Amino acid sequence: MRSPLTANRLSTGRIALVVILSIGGLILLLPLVWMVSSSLKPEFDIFVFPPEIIPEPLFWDNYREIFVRAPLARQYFNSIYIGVLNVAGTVAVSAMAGYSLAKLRFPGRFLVLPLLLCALLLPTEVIIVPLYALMSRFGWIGTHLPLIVEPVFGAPAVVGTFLMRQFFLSIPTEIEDAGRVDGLGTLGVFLRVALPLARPALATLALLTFLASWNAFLEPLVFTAGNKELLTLPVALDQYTDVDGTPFYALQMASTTLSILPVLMVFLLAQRQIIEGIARSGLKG
Amino acid sequence: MKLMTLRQREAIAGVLFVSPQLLGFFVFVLGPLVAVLTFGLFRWNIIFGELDFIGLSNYRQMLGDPEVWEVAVTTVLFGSGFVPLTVLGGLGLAVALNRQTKVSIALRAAYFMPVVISLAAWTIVWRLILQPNGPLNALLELAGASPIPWLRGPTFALVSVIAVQVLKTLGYSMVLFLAALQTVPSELVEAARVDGASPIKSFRYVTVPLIAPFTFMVTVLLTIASFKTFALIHLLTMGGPGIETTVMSYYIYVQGLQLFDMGYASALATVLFSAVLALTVIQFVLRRRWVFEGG
Repeated sequence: MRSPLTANRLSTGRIALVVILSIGGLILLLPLVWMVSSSLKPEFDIFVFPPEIIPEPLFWDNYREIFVRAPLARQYFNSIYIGVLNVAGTVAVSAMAGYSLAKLRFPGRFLVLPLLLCALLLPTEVIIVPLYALMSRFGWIGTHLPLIVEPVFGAPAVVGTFLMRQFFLSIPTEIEDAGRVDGLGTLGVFLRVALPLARPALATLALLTFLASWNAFLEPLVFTAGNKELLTLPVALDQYTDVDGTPFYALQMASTTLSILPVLMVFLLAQRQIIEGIARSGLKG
Repeated sequence: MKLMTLRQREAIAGVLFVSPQLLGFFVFVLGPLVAVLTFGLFRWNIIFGELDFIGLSNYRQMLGDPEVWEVAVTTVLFGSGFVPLTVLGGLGLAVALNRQTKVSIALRAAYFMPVVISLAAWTIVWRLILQPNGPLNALLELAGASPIPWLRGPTFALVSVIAVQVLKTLGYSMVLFLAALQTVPSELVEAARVDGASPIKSFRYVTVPLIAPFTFMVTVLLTIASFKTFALIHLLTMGGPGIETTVMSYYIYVQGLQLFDMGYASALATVLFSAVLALTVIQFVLRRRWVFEGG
């Protein structure tokens, strides 16, 4: 076994490491502390020197102002309902496709997955110009349709399909056979046997999909064509500027705080599921 | 006879189940990709309704434009800063925090948190932090140092852009490596330690080779991620000062969707796509040597 001496030395090194890592962790958290702090200051106090972490008094007006100066309530609603539709659509499309690729035999099935996975190698930035042209062809520019239809059927859903396929592969075929003996067809087995078993995987998929939709930036910027009523939150944060485009920092920090809040709450509640989902969908590709 | 119909039914169900995803892939991924490769040979502007075949003119224009070369260099610099820092940083964090103590769990959460926040929000907060009279320079001033033009100095701007993206992504890389470390049997590491290997040596000769396939995947994923930095550049620097922080993905947006030179943007996107493809293939080829040498 270890001698007391080495054990001791190890723990000293360990303490030093923990101190360094804690400082690193603080560096990551401080910007968010500063965000909240700045959201509670009047604009002319943003750059006051020396910097104040807890403003005195707390200036709550920014949180009213952001709703007066821009249709933020509407934009908040946009983010929520687009996120919900993304989740509903992706869960349906990915669960079906994942089940098919894991369990059903059809000609060409071994070609489908590698083909789909190519989508993960392709940055959206590469195809954003033709995507814009396509949406424009459909007459969808200046509507929310591109923000719902493209992620539900296109590249973002592929991650979900892969995740679901991996899950369905882990279900023993005997359980499905039992369903078949009870007289269920393929659809019945899928709906009554496989899907209920997949509840944890579906929950993870729903979480990751909502986050991806909530955080998307390039697509809403391009497809909403500058219509403020149509913006989602990430694109809306930058709208608080003067006529020259100089940011009103206090207002931006207030709206950013409001946009991050639900995400942080979900993160604190479902940390393990999110992390496992990312590790699983990220690695086994 | 009955078996045949069951088989056929299953095949029909299989095709039906996968078809929404497959159709979506054709319409929203493969179609646009083919369009990019094709329209790079056209003068294309949907605002003016232009679509003329011009052969390789876009590519000739690209090669002759020093701006494009500068953008290409910036893209490479960004990737060669971002990818190694995030891979090594994530690996280091994963190794240091791979225990079930309360402190480690809390620190893991802290490092992972930026991953769930939108890149837009993260960038907007950092834009305030990095202002000339912002809190970071205020801290420097309190420490007696002179302020640094984080976003206005050409070199500093690129460093800032890389740093903000690395801090955002470290937790992602850490989580992937933590998953990788779970696959290393602890008996192997312990056996090496019993044989007298130092922690560093057992890490180098046992852990690193065993997680090599994962390290490879993380590197591939982060290389691709290094091209997905649109919100970061758009919100932090607008590609500036000058064009010092304009990476290719941002330049494609400017050319194609701000100037509506969509054929030219498609040609640029073709080049970016070829680069992504080439890098992925190179990494897959290197993987063979890497993983065998280690194992």
